[in-house]
Amino acid sequence: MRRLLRTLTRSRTASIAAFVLLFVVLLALFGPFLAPKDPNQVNVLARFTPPTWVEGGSSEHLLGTDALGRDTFSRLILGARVSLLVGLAAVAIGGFVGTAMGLIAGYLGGRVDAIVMRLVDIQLAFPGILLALTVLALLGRSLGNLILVLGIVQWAQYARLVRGHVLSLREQEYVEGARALGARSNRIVLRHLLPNSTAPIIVIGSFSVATTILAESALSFLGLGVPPSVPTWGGMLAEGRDHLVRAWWLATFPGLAITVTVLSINLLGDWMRDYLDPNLRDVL
Amino acid sequence: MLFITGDPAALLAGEDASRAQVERIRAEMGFDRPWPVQYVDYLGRAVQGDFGMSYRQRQPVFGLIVERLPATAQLALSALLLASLVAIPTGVIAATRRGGAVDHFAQLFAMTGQAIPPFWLALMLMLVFSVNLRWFPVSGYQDWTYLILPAVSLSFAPMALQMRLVRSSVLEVLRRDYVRTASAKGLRSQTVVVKHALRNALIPVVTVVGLQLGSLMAGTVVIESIFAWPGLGRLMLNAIYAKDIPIVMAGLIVIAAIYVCINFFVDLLYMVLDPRIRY
Repeated sequence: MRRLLRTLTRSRTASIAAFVLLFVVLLALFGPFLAPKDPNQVNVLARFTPPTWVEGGSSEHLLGTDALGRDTFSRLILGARVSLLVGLAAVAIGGFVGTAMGLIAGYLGGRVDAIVMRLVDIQLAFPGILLALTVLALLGRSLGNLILVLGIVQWAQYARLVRGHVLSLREQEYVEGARALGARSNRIVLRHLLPNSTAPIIVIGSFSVATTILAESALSFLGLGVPPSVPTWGGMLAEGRDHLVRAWWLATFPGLAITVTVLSINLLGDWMRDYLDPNLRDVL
Repeated sequence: MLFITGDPAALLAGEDASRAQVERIRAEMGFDRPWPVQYVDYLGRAVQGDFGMSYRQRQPVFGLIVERLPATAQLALSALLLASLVAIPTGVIAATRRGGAVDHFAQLFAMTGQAIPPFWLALMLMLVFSVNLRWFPVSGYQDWTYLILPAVSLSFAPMALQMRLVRSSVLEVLRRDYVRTASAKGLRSQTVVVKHALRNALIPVVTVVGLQLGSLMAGTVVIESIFAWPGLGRLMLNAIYAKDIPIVMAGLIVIAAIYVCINFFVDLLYMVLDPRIRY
C-alpha cells in the first residue's frame, strides 16, 4: 500500500486524477451534508437564475437554478452518488459473473469452454447499450434494475479475458505442481488461477467503471435510468436540453462533471495498468 | 421478452377496451398460442426476413427497419470517416515527432475524447454552432449541413481511440529491423514512414475501425434522438418507449447481424493486408 502511494505520487497525471476521484467519492458519500441547498427544493420565483459570475446571477446559487428554481450546484453534488454507485456496483456484478464463467471455461476446457465462448460471442454481438435500454424499458426504471442490467451486459468481456489468462496459466509448473500434490480443482482455481488473474481483471474493471458511468448517464438522459426524483448527471443533462437556449448552464455543468470523472478514472486506470503489469499495455 | 412485457394484447387494445376486444386481438395476433410455439414460429419467419408486424404502426417491421437503415449508415460512416481522416495523420505525426506539440495534443485528445459523453458534446456543439453562431441547423435531415454536427459529436470517441492506437502502433513498428534497414539504405524518412512503417502499423487499426462501425450503429441512438435524425436508432428508441416489441427485437437482431458481417469482412481484409495470416 505504501509502495502504491509512493509510485502514485511520482506520476503527476495519476495523482491529479486520484485527487479528483477522491473528491468525487467524498461528494457522493457526504453529498447531503455538503450540498448548500436542498436539491429538490422548488422555488418558482428563482427559476433560471444564471450562475453567480454571470450577469443576473445571485450569490445564493453558485451554478444557477433550473426550470423549477432548484439549485444546480446541489443537484450536481447529489448526482455523483448515482453515477458512482451504478458504475461500481454494475462492474462488480459483471466482473463477478464474467470472472466465474471465464475461470470455469478456461479450467475445464472442452465442451464447457465451447459453450461459454459461444455465449460470449453472442453477447458481444449485441450492443450493450441497446440491450440495456430495451430491458429497462420493459422492466421499468429503478436503481436496482439499472445496476443489474448494466452489470449483466458486460460479463462477456471479463469472461473472455479471464479465460484466455487461465488457459496460459493452466500449463504453468506451479499449477501442475499443485495438482501433483493432490489439490482439488476448486482449490487450484480459487487459490492459484484466480489470484494470478487479478491484475488484468482490476485494470479492465477500472476502465469499465468509466464506460458504465457513461452508459448510465446516457440511459438517464433518455429517461430510462433511475426514477426522476433522484438527481443524476444524465437526467440533469436531459432537462438542460429542453432549455438549451434559455439556460446554457443546465446542460453544461452536468456534462463537465461526467467528463472530468470519467477522464480521471481512465487516467488512473492507465496508471494502474502500468503499475500492476506493464505487459498488459499491448492487450488492454 | 414475452414474459416481461405484460399482456401485449391488452397493451394493443388500449386502456378502455372491453374484455372481448382484448381477446379478439389476442387471437388475431396469435398471442393465445403457447409461447414455445410463438417463439419457433417467430424464429422461422425471422430468418426469412419476416419480423412480424409493428404493434403500433401496423406495418411489417422489416420494411420499417430497412427504410431507416440508410440514414443511420450515412451518419455512422461519416463519423467514422471523419474520425479516421483526423486520427490517422495526427497519430502518425505524433509518433514520428515524439514529444512534439502534435504528440502532446494527440495524447491529451486520446484521453479526453473518450471521456466526453457524445450526447453532451452534441448539446454543446448545438449551443455554440446552431444557437449562437447559427452556422448549422439545430436538427433535422435535409442537406449536408444537417449532417455535420451529429457526425462530429459521434466521431470524437472513435477518433480518440484511433489516434491512440495509430500512435502506439507506429511507434512500435518504427523500432523494427526492417525500418532500420530502410533508413540505413539512405531512404528519406518520409519514404520510410509512408512505405514501410505505415502499411504495417495500420493492420491493427483496421480491426478496430471495423469494430467501431458496429458500435457506432448502436451509438447513434442518443445522437439521432437529439438531432431528430430519422435513422434506426430513433426508430428503436421510440419503439422502446411505446413498448412496440417487434420493432425492438428486429432492430437488435439486425444490428447484431450487421456487427457480425462487419467482423467477417474485417477478417477478410486482414488477410489482404497481411499475407502471413491464413485461416
